[in-house]
Amino acid sequence: MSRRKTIFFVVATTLVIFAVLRLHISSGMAVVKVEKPLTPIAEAKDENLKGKRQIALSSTLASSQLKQKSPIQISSLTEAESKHQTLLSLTTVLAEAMSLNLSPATLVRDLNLIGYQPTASKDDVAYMDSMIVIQTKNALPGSRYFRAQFFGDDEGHYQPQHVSFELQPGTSLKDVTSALTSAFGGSLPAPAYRDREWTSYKFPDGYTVWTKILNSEDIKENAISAHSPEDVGTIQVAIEKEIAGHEDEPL
Amino acid sequence: MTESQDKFENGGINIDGFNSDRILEADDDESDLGSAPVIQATASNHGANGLLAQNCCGFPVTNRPTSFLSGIGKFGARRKGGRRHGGADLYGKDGQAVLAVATGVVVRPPYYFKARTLGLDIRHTGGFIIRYGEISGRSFGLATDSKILKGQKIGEMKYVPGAPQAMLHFELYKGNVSGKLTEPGTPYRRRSDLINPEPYLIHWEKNK
Repeated sequence: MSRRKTIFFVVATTLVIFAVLRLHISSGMAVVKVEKPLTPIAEAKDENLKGKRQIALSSTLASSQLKQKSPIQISSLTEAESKHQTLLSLTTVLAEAMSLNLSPATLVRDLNLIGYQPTASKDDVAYMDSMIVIQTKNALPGSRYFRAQFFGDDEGHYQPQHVSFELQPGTSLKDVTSALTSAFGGSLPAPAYRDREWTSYKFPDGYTVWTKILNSEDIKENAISAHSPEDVGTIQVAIEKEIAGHEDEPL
Repeated sequence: MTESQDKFENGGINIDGFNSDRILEADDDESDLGSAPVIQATASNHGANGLLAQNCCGFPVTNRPTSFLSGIGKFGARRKGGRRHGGADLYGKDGQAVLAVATGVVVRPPYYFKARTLGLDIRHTGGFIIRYGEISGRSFGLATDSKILKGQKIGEMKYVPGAPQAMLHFELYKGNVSGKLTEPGTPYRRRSDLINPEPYLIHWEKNK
């Protein structure tokens, strides 16, 4: 089975699992207890959800519209299980985004499915391409700073260039690697680069998956994501299309 | 080594009296981009977008970088699959300041470029656009429409493991077209108004 088909299968399976869970919940047969909806999107703040025992599901799996849904809480999951579920969901989204060349709209839909409240901003600048940046107003347990960048042309065709998220300190890199392996159909290429903080995997399609354990320098005055000293040890996980013309380098 | 290359590597350039029809551009069908192009400018046009005009521009890094005229960081250097390098890599030290070459306006604030380094796109006076790539993640308060002064510190070089050195990846565009800067299907994977920055960098370095 080709990698693309394998990834499609993994993504489809994940979505089906979400759908089954939702059916159980809506039919009263849920093995989990559904609690009141979370804070409305406009009021949700990134840090509000950090560490809470919750998982969110979209109420409309088939919808391709960019709808904001109220997630629901499932209190039967332990914190560790919630974090693990987050890791599995995010690595699946990561793999799907680049491998299937997702559109911004589809990515937003998928983020909704796993409980995010995504926002998309588009900049149109004279003499430039347009760029869509997708971020989230909330965070899934154990994670934060989801970000996806798409570059587009005049015809409105957008391609993902960067997708990443961060996992809070204490997350096991081994667990991250395991989740990435599953998300990419059961295998990863041999690391193209690895040291104490970095690991990278180069894919033949021209994209690179990397993980970086953030050190004290990484979190200083970051232009994209704000951190505090206790964030040392955060793991950032990303997939990127090579645009610099440095594809011969391992990262 | 060609005569022109030798001239460049010795820092000797002469912009007076040249024709303007031999500025090496991305869409030129040059079979050997390993030899340095000749700076072309006339007294009236000062090269593309006034890039060679007196006091137009400054050099984009503080200390003299190792040569950007040879090796894998050179503009046009060959890559796998027939691709060419669309920028000039100015190698330096981790944390070395990156400076705006001219006054301008931020048209794209910092975005992820490669391995936690950022890209920053500025439209400078004269209309040309520069993509400053592989700069550190540090914030310098830059947002869309931020006004930039010539010589203003806009970033720092950031070493990416596996790269030869910390660097500034420097891409120069005329700015007379629109669309994606990164464009598949061309040798440089870049927009059609990409131009070779080497002659200008040499000129700015000489005059800094």
